[in-house]
Amino acid sequence: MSQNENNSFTYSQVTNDVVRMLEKPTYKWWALFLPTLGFVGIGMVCFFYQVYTGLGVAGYRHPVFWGVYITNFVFWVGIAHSGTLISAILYLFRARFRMSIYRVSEAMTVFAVLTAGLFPIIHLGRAWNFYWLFPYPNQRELWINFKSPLVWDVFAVSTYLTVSSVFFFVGMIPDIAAVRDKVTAVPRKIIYTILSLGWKGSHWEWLHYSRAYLYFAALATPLVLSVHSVVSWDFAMANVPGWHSTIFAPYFVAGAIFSGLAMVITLTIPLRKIFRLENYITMDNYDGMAKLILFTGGIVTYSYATEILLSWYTGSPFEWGQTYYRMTGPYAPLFWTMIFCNVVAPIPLWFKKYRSNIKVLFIISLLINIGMWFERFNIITMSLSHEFEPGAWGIYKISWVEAGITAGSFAWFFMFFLIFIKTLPAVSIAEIKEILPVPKKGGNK
Amino acid sequence: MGKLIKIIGIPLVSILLLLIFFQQYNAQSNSKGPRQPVLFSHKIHAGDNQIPCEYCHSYASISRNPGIPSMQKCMGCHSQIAGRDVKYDINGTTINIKNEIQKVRDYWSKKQPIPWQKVTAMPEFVHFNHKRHIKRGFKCQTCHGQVQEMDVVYQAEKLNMGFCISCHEQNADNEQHLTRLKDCLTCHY
Amino acid sequence: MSDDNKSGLKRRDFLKLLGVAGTTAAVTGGCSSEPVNQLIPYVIPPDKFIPGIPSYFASTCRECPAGCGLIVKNREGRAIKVEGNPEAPVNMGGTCARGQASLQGLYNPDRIRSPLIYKEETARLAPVGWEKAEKALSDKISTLIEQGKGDRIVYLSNNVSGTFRDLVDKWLKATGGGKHYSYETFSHEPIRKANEILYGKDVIPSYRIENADFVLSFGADFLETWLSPVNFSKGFSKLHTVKNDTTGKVIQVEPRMSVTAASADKWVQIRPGTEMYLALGIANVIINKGWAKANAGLLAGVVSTYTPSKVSTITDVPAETIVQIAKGFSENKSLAIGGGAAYTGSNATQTQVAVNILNHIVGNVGNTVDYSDILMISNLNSYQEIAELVNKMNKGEVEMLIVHNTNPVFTLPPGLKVKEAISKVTDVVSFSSFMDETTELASLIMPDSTFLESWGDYQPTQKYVGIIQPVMSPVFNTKQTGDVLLSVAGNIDSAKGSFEVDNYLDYLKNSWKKVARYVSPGENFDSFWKKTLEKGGVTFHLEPAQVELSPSVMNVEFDEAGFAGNGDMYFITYPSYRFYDGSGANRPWLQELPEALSTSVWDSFVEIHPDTAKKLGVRTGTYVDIKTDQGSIRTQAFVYEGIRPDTIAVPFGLGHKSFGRYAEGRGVNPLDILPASSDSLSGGFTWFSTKANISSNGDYELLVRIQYSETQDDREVAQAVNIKDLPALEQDHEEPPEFYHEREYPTYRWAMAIDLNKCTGCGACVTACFAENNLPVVGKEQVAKRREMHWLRIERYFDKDTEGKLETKFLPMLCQQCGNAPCEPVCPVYATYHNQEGLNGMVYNRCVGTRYCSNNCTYKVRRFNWFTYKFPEPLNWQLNPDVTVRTKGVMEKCTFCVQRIKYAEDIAKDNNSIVKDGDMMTACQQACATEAITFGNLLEEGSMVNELSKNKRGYKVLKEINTKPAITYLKKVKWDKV
Repeated sequence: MSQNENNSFTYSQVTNDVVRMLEKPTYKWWALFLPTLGFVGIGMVCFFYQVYTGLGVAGYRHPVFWGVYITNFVFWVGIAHSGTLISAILYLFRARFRMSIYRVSEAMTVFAVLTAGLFPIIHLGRAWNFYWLFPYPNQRELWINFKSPLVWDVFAVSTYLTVSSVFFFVGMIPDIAAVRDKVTAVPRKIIYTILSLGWKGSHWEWLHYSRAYLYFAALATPLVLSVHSVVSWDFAMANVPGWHSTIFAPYFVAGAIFSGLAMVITLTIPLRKIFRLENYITMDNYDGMAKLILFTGGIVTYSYATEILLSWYTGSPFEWGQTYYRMTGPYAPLFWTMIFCNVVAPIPLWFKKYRSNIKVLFIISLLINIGMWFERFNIITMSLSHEFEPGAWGIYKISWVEAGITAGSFAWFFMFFLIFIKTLPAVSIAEIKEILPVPKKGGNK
Repeated sequence: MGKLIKIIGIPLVSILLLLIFFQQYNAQSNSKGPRQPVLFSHKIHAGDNQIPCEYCHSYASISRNPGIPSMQKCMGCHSQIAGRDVKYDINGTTINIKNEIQKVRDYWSKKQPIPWQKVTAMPEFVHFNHKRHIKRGFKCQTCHGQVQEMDVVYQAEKLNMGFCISCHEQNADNEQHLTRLKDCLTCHY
Repeated sequence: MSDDNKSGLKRRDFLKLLGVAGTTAAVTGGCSSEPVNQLIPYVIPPDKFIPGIPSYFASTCRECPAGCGLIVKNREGRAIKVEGNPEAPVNMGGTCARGQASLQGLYNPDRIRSPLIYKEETARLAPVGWEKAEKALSDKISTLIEQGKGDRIVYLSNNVSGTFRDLVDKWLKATGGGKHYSYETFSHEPIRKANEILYGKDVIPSYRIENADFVLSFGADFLETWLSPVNFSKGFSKLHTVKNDTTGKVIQVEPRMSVTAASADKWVQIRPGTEMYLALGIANVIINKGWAKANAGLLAGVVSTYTPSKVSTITDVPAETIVQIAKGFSENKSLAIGGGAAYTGSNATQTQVAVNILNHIVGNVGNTVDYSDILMISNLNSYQEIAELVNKMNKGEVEMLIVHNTNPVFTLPPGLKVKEAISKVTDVVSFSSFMDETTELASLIMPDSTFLESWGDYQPTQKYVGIIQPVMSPVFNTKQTGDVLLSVAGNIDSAKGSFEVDNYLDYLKNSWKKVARYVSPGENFDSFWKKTLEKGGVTFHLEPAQVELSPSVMNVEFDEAGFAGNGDMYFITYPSYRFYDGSGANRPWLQELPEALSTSVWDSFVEIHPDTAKKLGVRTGTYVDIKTDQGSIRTQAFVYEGIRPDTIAVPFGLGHKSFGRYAEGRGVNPLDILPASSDSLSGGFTWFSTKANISSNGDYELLVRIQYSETQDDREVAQAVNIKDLPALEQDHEEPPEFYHEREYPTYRWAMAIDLNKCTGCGACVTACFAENNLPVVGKEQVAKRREMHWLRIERYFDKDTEGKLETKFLPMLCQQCGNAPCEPVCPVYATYHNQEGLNGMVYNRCVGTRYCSNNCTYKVRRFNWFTYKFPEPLNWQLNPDVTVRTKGVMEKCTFCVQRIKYAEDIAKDNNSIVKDGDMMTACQQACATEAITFGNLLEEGSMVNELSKNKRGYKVLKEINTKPAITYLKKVKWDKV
């Protein structure tokens, strides 16, 4: 936090800076928010149209029965991960660079899971029966099949949603209290008062609070690994060539964090610009994340290599056929885009010069987001379109309905995010204060 | 401490209520049958006059469909039996038996079928086989209720899957038989 | 169904009542998701009908002249399924795709629903009652009779035989001596002529493929449309049965690979139009080598000049192949047949003569060629005679043309100007059931009931007469033509006397009284009639016919085929086994059934060799213009090696201008660019008589197909074994170790065996599956998105044989009911699961549609309901009440016709036993004419399927995935030389 010490500023300043973000929305904010709402609307229209006419309006076709929806699902669950990573794991490791960004990334986690959770329902042939996937007692004496990875998904995702949102909220209590003390307008005052659960900031409270937070962090940590492993088993458990592989769990987790960090960068850079938070979200933060990206990106690259090597080494015509198809088939462009974005693009980050260059960071993070989306698309769609039976090979094309719903899902995510930054402290006041130099008698001169 | 009770108690109670609701789901359905074009009383026929069910629903023991009596069957008796000219109260509506029977005769003379209203509904994806159940020695009343006491027949049981399954469970001879009786393909194909 | 007057009620009437009762019954069976809230009782209960229990009627198929015997399944008064009649000697229980689809003729939404009459004032056809319509016709005829023009009435029908032919002739005599023409699009004049030349018999004999073990076919597509395909398929099945490590052989000599050639053991690719020389060459070898069995006599002289070397240069067939064929042909119980492009050239008759010579010299006549049991299409009018009729019409010598079950405007070359000719006729009356190109021109239309709603009889061959009886009451306000003719005659004073009966049923019975006297003298007619109706027909005993070689064979000029036009491509047109003469084009099932080799649906295509395609710069799907002197057609290319570089081929049957929603404007009619020429000797139409030019402007569009990958990519999905390796062959029985405990099956393990050496890819099973399991037809646009609903598809793979030549394999692919099914564990709601009888249950009403099961299915045999598909009224009348109709968002698949299994188990239970071998058949098995499919209980010792699954040719598809399929495939047998 070197910079902070140089232009050393007081506790009140910090609070003011953060609370400043919560002022009345500017027209700029509305200019962002309204289109977002519009896209959410479009997404909903598409979904209801699909439910009404049948799944045929999506691009699905024999033999590709999963497409963009499941891709989005995996993508969003992936995005969610880094949030927990940054807030929980790095907290346990006492990595200081997380301080200023963990709130944003936690918010991101919650919203991403909210988005991801939609897709398993959207992609159902009979979406109105989605609740059959939950175990509930019924007169028909029917139960769900715990052998099915989809059922594991149901539990994984719902658990993840509960834990991450609780963790998110708990982390915010002191800050909400701070905001409560600042705001005067009546309705907001009341809301913040309720949300702050009567936080006074007494020593006793702080004592328990920090313990609780620590435990939650410990509780959330295993989820980072477990949830995405479960998601990866949707594929690894099936016998589809290109899915049926043991490295999927670590491969997916790494991929998830990889894409998640990229998303954090993509989100915070504009945020920091708009709200002039340069002093809080500093280059050190980005440097740390860039290094993490290099690390996870390495794992992803390694996994690609392993997959290709093994498919050749097994000598199975199906496995190798699959790999060869990916590299040369009709989807080849997508495959190579993925390789470029996830393997080649991060290379500059090896150099301090680029790590500390906001523009470069931003572009790379965008590329990684794109690349990771294509990775999921490749795994899911390509594998299905080229399975065992030569008689049943076929390719999948995305339809406008799917496009609409996908766009809608991104809008849905950003909608929450926009509301968040206008209503809740996007930077942790409390933790920033922790790392400020203790004020001298008579204030800093 | 009171707080704690609230925090844990409320959800627990609600879950409990939910469970009870699901268990009580196969409650009796409403005891009101549709109004038929001819106000036919099963009570008079099957009850008072002791006519066996299969006399009219004659396919019940040889086919999956029990069949409904043909006009010819009705006239078999009612060409002779004109019915007493008396009032009769059938679920609140007072009718004259003679007139009702006259209606049947009119349909017959016009060689028209009587458009009966369906009472017992079964979804199309369920294939229920009457023959099997009758041959196994089940009474019609097991599923259709005490028809001989109904003036206007109504669906006595809410013939949902729970109803079928529980009966199948009770009547399985052995483990193997049970698996066969609980096999989805027994009714759904 | 025999006794009509029981309960003082005509059978027709109570079928009507049934119709009513059926309505609700079938609806509850589930053609709609709306619940039914009315129950309609019978007024009078039909003695033979019990709701919920099917009744069966024997009848005879009239979809093509072959006349197969049928058993039609009726539930609650509706025909819901067609099966072959095992008693009928023609098809012995087999059916073809067209036969299966005859139900869609019956329930076709585009049928003419009542009589129509042309109104001057409105200048269009308007519906009228039957009395009016019949009156109109009889008035016209009476006026004609008054004017003494009664002999100017022409009755043009398809091939009719037996009683109806007799009725028509009587009727025409009564109405002033008009003429009856009966015409079929494929009427095989050359065979008749050739037989006349050789033996002085103007007939088509019965070919006994079942008695042969070496069939040499010159382009005869005997497994598709030629003469009596189902009968020949039965024969083929017998011939291709593998016994003590050997089997019979089929040599197909053809410029293009037809479906028949694909199933043949050797496909000899010959220069088009030179088949005759090959036949003569073979005969030459046989005689010179002294292999001839019968006394060749003067034939030796005929063939003397055709030495193998000479023939080989003409035909592009290597000399040694010729000798090999000759050897095999003379050594085995052989049969030579000619058909297709081979005998529709300008030298068609000569070719057929050459073929006959082959049969003669090895003494096949009387063994595999039977001149006693002749086919009844032998008394059709030749194309030449029809052409003359058209001339007469043009000259205005025809006052009234009555068209019945035939569509000359579509099936005759435009060069004949049939349309113009017909418009010159004062009164055109049509009895057609559909508004086709010819019926459009009629001024009075009296829709005929389909053969499934009518009484009648049909004699396919000398030996057998099949009964046609109504299997349900008419769907629409139609009347069978026999009745119409009789009541019309009744209205005409001069004709009144000539018929003692007023309805066709009585007329039929009268004529059958004669048959009864002949077949079973002394038996009382009613019991005879009852028996016949149950059996479906009567078989006569025939004396074997002797034939004498006539010297006229000496003066046959074996001149080579001539071709009109100056194109550089031989242009072949062949009848599609789906549409035959085009009459199948309005059946959605047939439209969605893939053409076996191209796997194309709903459209026409032109077959082009890769080299030619490269020169032309086209690929599969590119539009190609085919030009001849008569005009040009434009259709999409299908590029494959199954055709010579100098030849192109277009299937016949599509390209209707008007034939209902399913046929109109689909594909092209190759007839449009054929010259109206005929073979000089026989007067048959020459389908193969012109050369064409092809060009392309490169417009590309996806050629909609069921399968896009041509080869099997070395994945050994469809396997074959070389005949040499058969003795040493053994099935690989070893199973990998199981981590979980093995499944136990208490009573049944339903299983199937499919013999790839017998499967001809004809698609009968696919169509049967559509009929039995309520599969929806999704249409071209959806099939283009690969959303066809085939539970059973026939995969076609092009491999290379040892000489690097094209070798086709067919693989019927359906749910394998795996013992270790990948689909089961992944379903989150147990909508698909394994039951104690070895079936992969599929519970439609439990499915939420995650589609995970299908992703995980190794064989990709599951289908998903992308939409709620519609069955346009009254096509939904055909829906099987025992099978749930699926709605959108639900996965579905084959379950070995579980509804039939359940029915059989129910019956078995009544007799306290279990289902035994042969108690029930799956729909596909029952339809398969070559008996390639066997189904049964694997646990039953000695059951057929139990035996076959142990067969040494047996293998499981994709065994390495260890799904433990219940279907055992039997490897196809290959020969590397003739």
